[in-house]
Order: sequence, then C-alpha cells, then structure tokens
Amino acid sequence: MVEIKGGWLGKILRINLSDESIAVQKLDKDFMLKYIGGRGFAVRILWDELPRGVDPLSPENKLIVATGPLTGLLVPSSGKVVLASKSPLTGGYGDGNIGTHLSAMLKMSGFDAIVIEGKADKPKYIYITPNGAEIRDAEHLWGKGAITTDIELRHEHGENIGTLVIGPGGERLVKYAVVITEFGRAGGRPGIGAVFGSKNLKAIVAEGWMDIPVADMDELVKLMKKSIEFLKSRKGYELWVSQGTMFTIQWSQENSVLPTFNFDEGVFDEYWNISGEAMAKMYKVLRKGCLSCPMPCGNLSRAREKFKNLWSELDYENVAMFGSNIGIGDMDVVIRLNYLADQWGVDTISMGSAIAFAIEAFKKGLITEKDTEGLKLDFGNVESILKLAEMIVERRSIGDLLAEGVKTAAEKLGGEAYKFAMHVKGLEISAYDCHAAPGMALAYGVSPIGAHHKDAWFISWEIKMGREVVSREKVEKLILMQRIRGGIFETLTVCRLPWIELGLEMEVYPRMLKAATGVDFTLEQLYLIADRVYNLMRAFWIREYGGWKREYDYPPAKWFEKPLTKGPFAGWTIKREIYDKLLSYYYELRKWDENGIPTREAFRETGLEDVAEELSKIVELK
Amino acid sequence: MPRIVFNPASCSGCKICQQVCAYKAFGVQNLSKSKIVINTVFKEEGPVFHKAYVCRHCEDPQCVKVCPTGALHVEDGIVKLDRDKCIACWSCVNACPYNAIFRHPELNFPLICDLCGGDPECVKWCPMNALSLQE
Repeated sequence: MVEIKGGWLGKILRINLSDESIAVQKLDKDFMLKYIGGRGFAVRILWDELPRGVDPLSPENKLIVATGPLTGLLVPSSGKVVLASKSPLTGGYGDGNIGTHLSAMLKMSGFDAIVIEGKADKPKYIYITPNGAEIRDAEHLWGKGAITTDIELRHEHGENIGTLVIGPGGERLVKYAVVITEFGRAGGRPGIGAVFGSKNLKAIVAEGWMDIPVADMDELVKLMKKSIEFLKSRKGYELWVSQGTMFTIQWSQENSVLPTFNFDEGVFDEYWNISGEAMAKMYKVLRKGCLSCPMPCGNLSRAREKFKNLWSELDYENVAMFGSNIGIGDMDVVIRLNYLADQWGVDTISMGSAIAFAIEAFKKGLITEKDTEGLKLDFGNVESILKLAEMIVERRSIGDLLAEGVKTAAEKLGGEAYKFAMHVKGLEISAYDCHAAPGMALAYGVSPIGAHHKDAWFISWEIKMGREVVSREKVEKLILMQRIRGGIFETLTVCRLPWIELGLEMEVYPRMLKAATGVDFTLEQLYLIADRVYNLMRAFWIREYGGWKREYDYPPAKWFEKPLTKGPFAGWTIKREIYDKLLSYYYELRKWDENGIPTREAFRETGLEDVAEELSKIVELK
Repeated sequence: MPRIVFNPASCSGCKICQQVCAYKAFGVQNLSKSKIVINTVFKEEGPVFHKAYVCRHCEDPQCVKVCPTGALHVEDGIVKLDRDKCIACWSCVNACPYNAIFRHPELNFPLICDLCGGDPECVKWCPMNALSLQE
C-alpha cells in the first residue's frame, strides 16, 4: 500500500464564477499517482469534465491552474504552475507554464490546483489564503495593463503574494492572450488569458503561509544543496546567468534557424543588434529568477535611446519574434514591443507572427491600405509595426482579424495566405525556422498544444546528429525529449532548464520526488506516466476535431515550397516525403495508427481503457 | 556589529535564502517562516529591484527598547529573542524602522534574524552571493 507523506496537498479548489460557489475537492490518491500534477491533472480533468464541442470562450469551459508534487519546494527552479483549458486559439487541448510565486503560495494555502468555471457578472478577481478563497470586485482593475494591475494588487495585499493577471488583450479576447506575473513573466500561449477574460476574471492572487508537507525534508535539502553545487560548477553557468536564453540568437544565426521575415530566412543581417551579447553589454540591468532557481534566466533590460529608460524582460523567443521575424534590428524597439505585449497580456510569439503574416499579406496584395487604416506595412518599418500591434489589441480594422491568430486570418483572407500562416493546429510557431531542420519541424508538428518548442526542443540535437538523417533513431530521440520535457517536467511542474541547459541528471528527479512524497518512482514509471498524458492529450484533440488526419500534424507549406535564399543552407526546403516518413516513424513508435490516432494497445498500455472506450464512439480505434 | 549585508545588484529574487532560513529554524518547507524576506518590487515602466528585509542588529535597537518583557535583548552585539519571555504583543514588529521583524499567523513570537549563531544559513546558500556576513 503506497502512502503519500508529502509533496501533494491532496486538495483542489473549485470555483464557479456564475453562482460564486466555492468548494474543496479531495483528490483521490490513485489520481495523484497516475497523473502526478500540472499538465497531467489538467488534461485528465478537462477530458472528464468538458463535454465535446464546448465553446472555449463560454462559461462551460474550465480554466485550470495546477502545481505538482515538487512545485514550490527546495527543488531547483520549482516555482512554476501549469495553466490549461480548451484553447480558444486552436480548439484543442491548450496549456502553458509560467514562473510565478503563486506556485508556492497556492500550495501554502493548502491546494494543489484550482479549477474555475462559469462566468462572473462583473469583473472579478480571486483571492486565496489558507482561510479560503474569496471572489472580489475587479471593476477598478478592468481595462488596465497587466503590469499596472499587478502593482495595484500588491498595494492592496502587500508584497508577499503570488499573482496571475491578464491585460486588455485577455479582456478583449485576443485569441493568443496570455497570463502575466511579476513584471515580465508570461504563460498560457494557447489563449489562456482570453479564457480568463471570457469569464470576467482579471486576476488570481494567492497568499499562503502554511507548511507544505514533505516526507523527508533533510534528504530534500541535501539533494538541493548537491544540485546547486553541480549547476554552479558547470562550464556554461556564467554565460547562462549573464544571457539566459538570449545566447540562442547568435546560435540560431550561426545555424540558419533564426526566424527572419515571417520565416522566409534563417539568418538576419542585423542579428548582432538583438543578440544576447549585445543585451549583456548594453541593455541588461538586472537579473531575475523564479522561486528556488539557482540559475536565473530573467534578463531585465532597459532601452537606451528610443523609448529611453523603459524596462522589459527579454528572452530568446520574444526577441526573435519581435526582432528578426519582423525585420527589426534595434533592441530599443524590441524592448518597447515586448513591454507593450506584457502590459497588454498578449503572447509575444503569436503577436510577432501575426505582424509578420500581415506584412507578407500586404506585400502580396491580400490586404491593402484600406484594411490597415492607411499604414504601409513592411518589415523593419517601426512606426507601422507599432501601430499595427495597437490595432490588434484594440481589435481595430485588420487588427481584429489578426487577433484571431494567423490560421483564422489566413482562412478569411483566402488565396495562398495559408501557405505563409506560420502555425500548426492554430498555434503560431515559436522562434526556430525549420527549412533546414526537418526533425525540429516534426517536433512542432506533433507538439500536443500546437507549434511550440517546450515539448521537444529538438533542434540542437538534430544539428549534432545531422539534419539530413531520416531514421527511426532520430524520432526515438524526439519522443524521449517529449517524455522528459512535456511529460516529466510538465507534470512535476518544475522548470526543465536545469536539466537542459546545465545537465542536471534526470536521475535526481525521482530521488527528489521520493524525498518530497515518500513514494518510490523509477524514471521508467515516469516515462509511462508521460506516455499516458500524451495519449490523453491526443484523445482530447481527436474528440474535439471529430477524428484525425495526418495533415493536422504538418507544418505550413512555406517550409516545403519556398527555399531559403541566404546563408549556408540556401536552397533548402523540407522534402514532403521525408517529413512524411518521420511522421510515420513517430506514429509507429507511439503506437498510433497511420492517421495519428492512438491504437487500443497504446491506450491499454498506458492505463487508459476508459478513454479508449469513449473515443471509440467517435472514431474507429485500431 | 555583525550583520547580514545585501547586494541588490547580485540578487535574483529566488528566495532560496527564505526557504533555507525556515528549514534551519523550524525544519519545515515554508518560506513564510523565514527571518529574512526578499521582495522584487517594480514600477510601471521600470525600474525593477530586489529588496531584502533582515535584522541589522542596530547599535541602539528600537525593538529592544519597546519590548515590555525583556524578551528581546542584546547579547554580544546581537539582538536575540528569549521565546519564553515573549508575550506576542508585536510591539517590536511595529517599532523596527527597517521592517525587518516579521509576524507569522501561526506563530506566537516574532521572527527575527539571530545570524544562526554566527554562521548564517542564508549567506551559505545564496547562489548569487548577494548576501554576506559583515563582522
């Protein structure tokens, strides 16, 4: 008989904003052991509780904030939560993680997770303490920027709180609105901020003070001490704490994967101006880390000339998407755009992609000055780009369409627009061009939320192994990455970067899990849980889409049809037959059928017979 | 006077110091039971900065002056708390000009840094070397 001695609180806070009812649900032990937390909790709850076909922006959709058993503890970089819902951007399963002190504060209030449904009659925020939860008036905060709102909440409740906040983007249901916290942290790319907005929910605040039970505190502290010593001894540590993910700009340029001009090219002439080195030398003024993080990656940077003294927190994805991808080689402008996106509470990746898409559509005559309020859109044109960004968040003119995401925008514009709408399953592609990286293209193609890098940042491994290699081993490695990153880290709900960037051994995580919970897990068992979560996320998509087709797992036509013209990989495209072969390997290795639907065997092996049963009412399972 | 010195330019706001302080003092996982508090404070368009609140072991400590029972006292230049004498009146919390004494909802005595007897845990653990012990 397994006994849980800590890590989890075993409780979920349930809030219905329509009737303002608040309840506490005790978690079944088997549920915790089978799904761990974070993404695992979220997808199981959404599968069980959302009827098929729910409008993501209706009161019936559910919003989940979930921690895991290691979250908030003395575990490296453990200050994370997963935000999840049925996505208004993709219509499928959507989640994102965010570094926030709310992680620990929620657990110190006695809860592993929050599940919110319904819709408030007026703007509200939720305030959580060990004494319970309250639904409070937020009319005075509605319309305000996310950073401004966060500051006002701190004036009201003091500094020792954790927050999740939306800005005007979420309020206006921009389909890629995110949740913001602590000045520069964002999460929930598939429109989780819009789900907040649709429920008239402006923010969640938690202020906890209770002990988080831990099975063996002395052991946990020992493992933390060793981990910190290890991380600090690593060769890459100094570069990491000085640049964080920003060193990737130069790396991507060198490897021809830096998205440039709406993913036309993989190199950008002005890359150095927006590089990590330039940032560290000229713009970075403060470092910032999440809770319990000994390797802080937060780059608080300050503009120098244009928008002088404006601060913003930079990392690779937002700088590439607001830099090279829209032709901007000026860090001051990137800082301005990034700051605005954070205040608005919109995703920097998707907004950067939407702007780039609009520019390309304008150049091709699919949109004109009539649609843009007279703006002449072009790459690198700062003034028109800033105005277009504003039009998106205010949903004016063409901005209203661009706020729906590039997939919907392309469908409305028609013609060949779909070829350069850079998304998979409706989620805009994050910042790696894949003309010369078919394996990374596959990672985007089969990512369980749409095109995002968090599940398999395959690119560096692919470059080492050989871009041209088409083999089962290549796809096996991709699946291993999904298991670790999208499975283990997203369910433990701690940051993956200590393992990825500085090589903290995976073996330490089961040991920390044992110290926290008292329960023995092997890495193999955690991989099985990861596969269970992947099969369940897939089932969710199939149920919503009423079936599945291979084409849903394909990246956009541009990577197949329009070759790179610059850099060492000029002339490269992805060959369709190569992509198709890699996709077939992926399905086979996951025991999914040739159309990407998990087989009965896959469901059985991961303990999801009940899911297979329900799904078989919609599609035939092999 | 010995005290903990904070370098805001090195700090990242990770609160590992708070976590280990609570562990050392109470053996628990609870960053709100810490005798040092780090806050990251921000204004609308910046700046962002990290602030530390921790006892400075003042030469003329206001907390000791207002303590009605002598629970707070100075020993070898260090402000110390005798929990047996403390009546939880919280006068010290209000008197500290640096907001460096804390009240926890579940504890009936204030949280004040005692420098761990001269080898403070927070200083040993800070991954950014933002904390140091000044003799």
